[in-house]
Amino acid sequence: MMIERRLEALKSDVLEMHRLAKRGVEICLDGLKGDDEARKEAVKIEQSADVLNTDIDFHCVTAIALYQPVARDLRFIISMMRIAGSYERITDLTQEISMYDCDDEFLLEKFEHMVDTLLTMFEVIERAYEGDIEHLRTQLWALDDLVDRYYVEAMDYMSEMCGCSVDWVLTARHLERIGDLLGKVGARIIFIEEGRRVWIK
Amino acid sequence: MKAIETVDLKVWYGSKQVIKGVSLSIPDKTVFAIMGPSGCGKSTLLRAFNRLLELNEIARVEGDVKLYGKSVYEMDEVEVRRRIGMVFQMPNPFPHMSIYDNIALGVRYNKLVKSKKELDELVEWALRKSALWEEVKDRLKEKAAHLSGGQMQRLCIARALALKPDVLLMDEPTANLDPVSAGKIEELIYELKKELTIVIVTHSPAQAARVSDYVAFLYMGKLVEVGKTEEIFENPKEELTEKYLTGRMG
Amino acid sequence: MRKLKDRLFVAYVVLATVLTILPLFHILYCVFANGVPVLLKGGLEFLTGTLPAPGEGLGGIGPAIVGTFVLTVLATLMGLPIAVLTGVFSAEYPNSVIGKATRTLLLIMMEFPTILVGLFVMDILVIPMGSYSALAGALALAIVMMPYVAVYTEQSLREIPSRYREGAFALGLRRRTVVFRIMMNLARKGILTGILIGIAKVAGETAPLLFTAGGSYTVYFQGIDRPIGAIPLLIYQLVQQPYENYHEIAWGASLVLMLIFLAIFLPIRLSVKEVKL
Repeated sequence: MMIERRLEALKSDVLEMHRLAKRGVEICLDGLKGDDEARKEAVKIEQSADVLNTDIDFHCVTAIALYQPVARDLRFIISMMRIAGSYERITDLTQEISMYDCDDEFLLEKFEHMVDTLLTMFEVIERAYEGDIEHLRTQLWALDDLVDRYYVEAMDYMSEMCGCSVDWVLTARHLERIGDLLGKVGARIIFIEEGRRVWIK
Repeated sequence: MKAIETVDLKVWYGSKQVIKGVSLSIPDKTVFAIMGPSGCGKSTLLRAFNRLLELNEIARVEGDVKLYGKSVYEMDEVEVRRRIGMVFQMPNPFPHMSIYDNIALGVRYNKLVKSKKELDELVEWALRKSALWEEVKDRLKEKAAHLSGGQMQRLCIARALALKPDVLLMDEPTANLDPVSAGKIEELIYELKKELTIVIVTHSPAQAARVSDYVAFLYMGKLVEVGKTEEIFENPKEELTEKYLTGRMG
Repeated sequence: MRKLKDRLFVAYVVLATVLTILPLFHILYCVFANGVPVLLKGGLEFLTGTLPAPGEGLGGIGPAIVGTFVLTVLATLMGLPIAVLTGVFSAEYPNSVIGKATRTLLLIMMEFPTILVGLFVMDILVIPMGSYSALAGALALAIVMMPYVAVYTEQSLREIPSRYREGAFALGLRRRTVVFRIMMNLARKGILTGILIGIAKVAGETAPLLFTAGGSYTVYFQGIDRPIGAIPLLIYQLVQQPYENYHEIAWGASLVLMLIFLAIFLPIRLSVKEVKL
């Protein structure tokens, strides 16, 4: 079936973006701490993600034009387009984080916690791609709540300081944002499988 | 009040059962599509509504069909067919009659007008309603055989509309037309649904998606799923429906 | 080698075709060759005059021409309505017992020996009436004509695409309107062809008239209960006589019959307006 092949190709492209986004999150704190190699990699990741996202966009539109898909096929294609967009945004944010500088111990520890939680969210989503979506919503919701909590703690800390860098605020903000974006990815996977529209934030 | 309701409708052609207990309700003033693969019984179902099935000597019907609550079998079949008009897959205006007479025949026979003037007005009204008036107003006396396929089909629609039916049945009305003519007819359907109920049988799910408010999926004589078009096409409940819509059937 | 086989095959087919058509042309040729001089010699008188005594010139075959005309018209009047309705019935109720029986019987009647038809009519009409008559002759011809008209009518109606029938019923028309206003109109070419073929056939029939019409060539039409002549009957009767002038008249009559025959059949193929379906 021609459309099957297209859908398979789309999925593997999106999984590639998933890996890029995940890698970006893994190394962004290294860049934050001053690792130049990490920074270079973050830039490359962002560029690849950009190109891949454009490709995916193009393939989705073509598939719609040619196959006029309906039901699950349509939900799949539309969702893949938007999921790819979320991943691309994540790589933007991780690139920015890696370009900043931070040496505050407390904050770095908070950021580590946030990144670990985010990586767990990535794993939950990976299992969802393979079909395990039973607890997807509740798990992602809890994890995103956790990221938000760390974010609030970091922001509270910084508001007490008299000389904190804008970079640090932005880093906290970006990491919180990545959590939201991953929640959206999860919601879209649920939409593909069940046709229900849900919130995860 | 539902325009058409079937109650456990069963149809046999000789010993072969073609419709296997179909119960559905068609809401008033909507476009209701019936889709399914070839040979699933869509056309048969349609012909049960206006009792055209009785023309077939080996057809046997069990169950009931109701028009606004009243069984069509309790009505005179002529009355049924006036209130439930039909347009066919291959356009079939009577070729030996003029465009005018094609429309006038049914009107005169059913005694729907009292004077020639009323008849003229009705013919013009019907042709305007089916978006054909501008193209034929100067040649009403010409034989219907001289029209193009799309025009013929619109003439058939006008002919049916002239009887002021409550329901219009359409059996794959655009199957034999070019895309442009087909598009015009689909637009027409969209306009007409404000005034009457339209039941359209189509072998193209895409067409059902474009024109209908409700859609029923028929498979091997059984009603698999029925519901609002948007819901069925975005998230069908039955796996069989999903398979059919995404082209993975058979 | 294959080319040779091919050429041989073509040659064979051409030869077979020629052999099939040859008799027709031969007949045409004979009739024209022998009949034209008679007509030229007799002039218009030949068509209007009456039969002369043996040995006294050509006279005319007027009564025979009128007789053929009268018999054909009468036969058509008698047989046509019944035949058309039979055809309609057969087409509308093809699966009923009567419908199936009718179709079979009609086909048998088409092949029935026409002389037996004549005998039948003689039995029921000529003998009780006590004389030959135009009525009896016409009845015999009608019986011969009916199956053709009925079968052609039925076939033509059957050939109409079912969508017109369905469309007519869907407008709420009742069966009789559907059949008579729509279906018959659409089938008119076929039905008219059937009628004309029936007419042409009986115009040239001899056997049914042998024991029914009687033959009358010295006086014109005297009433439908009196004997009447017809061209084929005249030819049959004259050829058996020993007189030379009668043989000439027979050839002349043959030519006239042939011309009438062609005059009906050629237009069938050309002028009946085809309904574009």
